[in-house]
Amino acid sequence: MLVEPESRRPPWRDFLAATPGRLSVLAVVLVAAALAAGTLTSAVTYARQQEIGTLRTHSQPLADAAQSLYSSLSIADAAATTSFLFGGVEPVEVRERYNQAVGDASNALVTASTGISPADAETVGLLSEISRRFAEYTSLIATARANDRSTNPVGLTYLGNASSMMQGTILPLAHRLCTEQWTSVATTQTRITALPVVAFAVTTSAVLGLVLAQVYLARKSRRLVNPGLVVAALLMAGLLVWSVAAFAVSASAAERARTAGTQPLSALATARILAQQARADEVLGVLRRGSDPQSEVDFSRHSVVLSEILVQHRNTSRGGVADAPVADAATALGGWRDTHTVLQDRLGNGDYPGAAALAVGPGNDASTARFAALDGALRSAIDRLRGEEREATTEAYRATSLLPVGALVLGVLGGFAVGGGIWPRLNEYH
Amino acid sequence: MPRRGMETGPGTRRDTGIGPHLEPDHGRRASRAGRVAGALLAAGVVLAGCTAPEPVTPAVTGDYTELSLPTGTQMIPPSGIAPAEPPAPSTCGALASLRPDPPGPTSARPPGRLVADILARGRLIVGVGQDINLFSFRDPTTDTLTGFDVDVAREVARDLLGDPDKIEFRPLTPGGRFDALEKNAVDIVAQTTTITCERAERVAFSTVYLEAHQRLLVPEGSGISGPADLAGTRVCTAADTTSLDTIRRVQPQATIVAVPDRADCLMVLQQRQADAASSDDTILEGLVAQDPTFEIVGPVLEFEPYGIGINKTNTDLVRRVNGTLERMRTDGTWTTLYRRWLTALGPPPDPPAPTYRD
Repeated sequence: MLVEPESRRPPWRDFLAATPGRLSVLAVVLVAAALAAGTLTSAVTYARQQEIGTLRTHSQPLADAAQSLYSSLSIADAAATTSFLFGGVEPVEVRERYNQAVGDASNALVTASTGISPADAETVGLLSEISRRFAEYTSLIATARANDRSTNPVGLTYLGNASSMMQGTILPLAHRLCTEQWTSVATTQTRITALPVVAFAVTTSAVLGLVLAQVYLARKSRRLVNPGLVVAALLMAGLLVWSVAAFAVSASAAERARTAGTQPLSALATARILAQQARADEVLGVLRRGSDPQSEVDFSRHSVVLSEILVQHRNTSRGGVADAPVADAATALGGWRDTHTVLQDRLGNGDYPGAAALAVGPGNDASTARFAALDGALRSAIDRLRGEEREATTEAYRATSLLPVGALVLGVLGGFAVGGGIWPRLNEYH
Repeated sequence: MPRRGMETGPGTRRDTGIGPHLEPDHGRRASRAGRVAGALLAAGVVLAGCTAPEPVTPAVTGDYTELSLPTGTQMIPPSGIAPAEPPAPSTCGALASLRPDPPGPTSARPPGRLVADILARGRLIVGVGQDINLFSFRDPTTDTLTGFDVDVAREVARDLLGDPDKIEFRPLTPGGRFDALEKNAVDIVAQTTTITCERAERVAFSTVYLEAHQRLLVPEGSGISGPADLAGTRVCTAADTTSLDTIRRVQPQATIVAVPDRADCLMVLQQRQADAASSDDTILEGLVAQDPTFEIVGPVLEFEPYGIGINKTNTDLVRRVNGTLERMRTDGTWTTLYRRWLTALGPPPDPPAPTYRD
C-alpha cells in the first residue's frame, strides 16, 4: 500500500508501535466502517427507492397510458368505420363510442407525455407524431361525415384514407410506444429484484471488525467487555438484519409485480390489441364486400395469436387474479369466431346485407356483441393485473421506505459508540 | 472533469467568476487552515460543475403545412421526355369484339365452362370502381351501390340469370382489376375501363359501351387552361390508368401525384396537395358534382372508349355481354341509363356503334 523507504524510520512507525497509536488507528477504522456501512446502505436504498418511485410514478403510468392510447385509437377507428356501414346517419351509440374514444385517446396522450423523461427525445418524437397524425385523422373523419351527409361519395374516400392512416401509421407508432414502455418497465423490475450485496458485505465487515476489535481489546486490557464496541456491534448487526429483511421483502414484492403483474399484463394488453385489430379487419372486410382477401387473412392471423395468448395465460397462471376474466374472454372469442365464420359464408355467397347485419347489427349473436364481450373481459383482466402490479410495486417501495434515514442514523450512532468505547481506553495512556 | 473544460463551458461561467477569489495574493500569509478551506471550496466548485443539469426536453419542430397524402400515393417527378404515343385502339383491332348470338330462344350451343360456373352459382360477380360518383358509388342513404356501371352490370345479370339482383359487387382499384379478371376472382369488370391495345392482350373487351374524353379538373380561377400550363405543377391522376400515361406524354414537365383510386384525386385537390387533376370527363363531372368550386377545362387530351373487361378465355361471356349491350342500344335502356346518370355531360348522344370481328 505505502511505499516505504528502508533507509530511515518515518515517525508513523513509532506511533504505530505504541498501543495508543494502534488504538487511535483502530478507532478511526471502526468509525469509518460504521459510517461507511450506514451511508452506503442509505445511499443504495435511496437509489432503489428512487428507481421504484420512477417506476410507480412514471414508467408504469406511461406504459398504461400507451396501452390505453392504443386501445382508444383503435376503438375510435372501429367506430368510425362501423358508422359507414349503416345506411343514412349512424346510430347515436356508435357516434358516442367514437366521441368517447377520441376523448380517451387525447387524455392518454397527455398522460403518456407527462410520464416520459425529458431526455427521451425518441419517445417525445413518437408522441408528437401520434398527436399530429391523430389531429389529422379526426379532421379527415369529420370531412368524411360532412360529405356523407351531403351524399357525396367522396366521403368514403376520406374515411378510407383516414382509416388506412390509422391502421398503417398511427397504430404502429402507438404499438411501438407500448412495446418500448413495457420493455422499460420489465427492465427496471428486473433491476429492483437484485439484492445490494456490496452494502450487505460492508455492513457484515463492520460487524466482524467490531467483534474482532472487542476480542483485541479484551486481550489488551483486563476488561472483558467494551460497552461502546458492543453497542456499535449491535447497531451494525441490527442494520444488517434490517436491510437484509427489507430488501428481501422489497425484492420479492418486485418479483411478484413482474411475474404476477407486468408479464401477464403485457401479454393480455397485446391480446386486447390483437382483438381490436381483428375487429378492424372484420369490419373492413365487410365494407370492401369481400373483394379484399387480405383482411380475412389478417383476421385469422390476429385471432389465432390472440387465442394462443389466452391459452398460454391459462396454462401458466394458476390462481391468478385475472383467471376468471381470461376464461370469459376465451369463451367470448370462441363465440365471435363462430359468428365470423357465418359472416364469411354470407359474404362468400354474395349476401352483403346479411353479412353487414351480422357485422354491425344488434343481437347477442352478432359480432358487435361478441367483440364487446371479449374486449370487456380483456379490459377487466388488464385492470385486475394492473391493480396487482401497482400493489406489489407499492409494497416493494414501502418495505425499504424507512431504511435510507434509519441506516444513516445507525451508522452515525455506531460511529459515536465506537468513539465512546475507545476514547476512555486512549485516555488511560495520558 | 478537467479544469479547462470548466472555464470554457458556458454552463459553468459563474463558477470561474469565483475562481480568482480563491487564489488571492495573500497566499504567503495565509494560514494552513485557510489553504485547506480554499482547496475544499475549490473541490466543491469543481464537483458542482461536474453535476450535469437535468437535460431540457427537446422541442419537436417541423414543416406541417402539407397533410399526408393518401396511403399508397406515388410522386412521379417530371421526366422531361415525352414517352412515345401508344397505338390507338382502333388501329390494332381492339375495339372490335365478338359478335353476339342472335336474340330469341337460346341457341343450341351449350354455355362455355366459365358461363356454366356463373349459372350454377346463380349470381354474377362484378368488379367495380370504388367511390366513383355517377358510375359505381355507395348511396349513403341506402348503403347500396349505384351508378351507370352498376346499372349496366345489372342488365348483364338480367339477361344472363333472369334477375338484375343476382349480382355481387367487388370494389377494385384500377391497379387490381386486370389481375382479378385473370384470376377469375370476378366475372366481368365494369369500371370505366378504357380499351387499349396493350390491355386487349391481357383481357377480352366487350364492344364500346360509352365514349369518354380525358380532360383537366382545376380549382376555379386557377389560371390553368390547358396542358401547357401544367409545366412545373402537380397533377393528380390514378395509378394504372390511361390518364396517367397521357399526362406524362402531353406535359413531361409536370409532377404526377399517382393516387391508388380515382376518387382520391378530389380529396387531394380539396386538401391542396395538387394543382390539377386529370381523368375522363365522365369521372370529372362526378367530382365537380360533389364540389362545384372546381371546373373542367382544356381540350380533349385523349379519346377513351369504355369496354367491359372479361377473362380472355371466356369467349362465351363476351358474346353474351355484347348481346346485352346490343339489346340496351336498341330497346332504349342505354339512353334511359344515360339520362339517369350522365346528364351533366349533356343530352344523351346516340349509343356508340359496335364493331364486331366474329
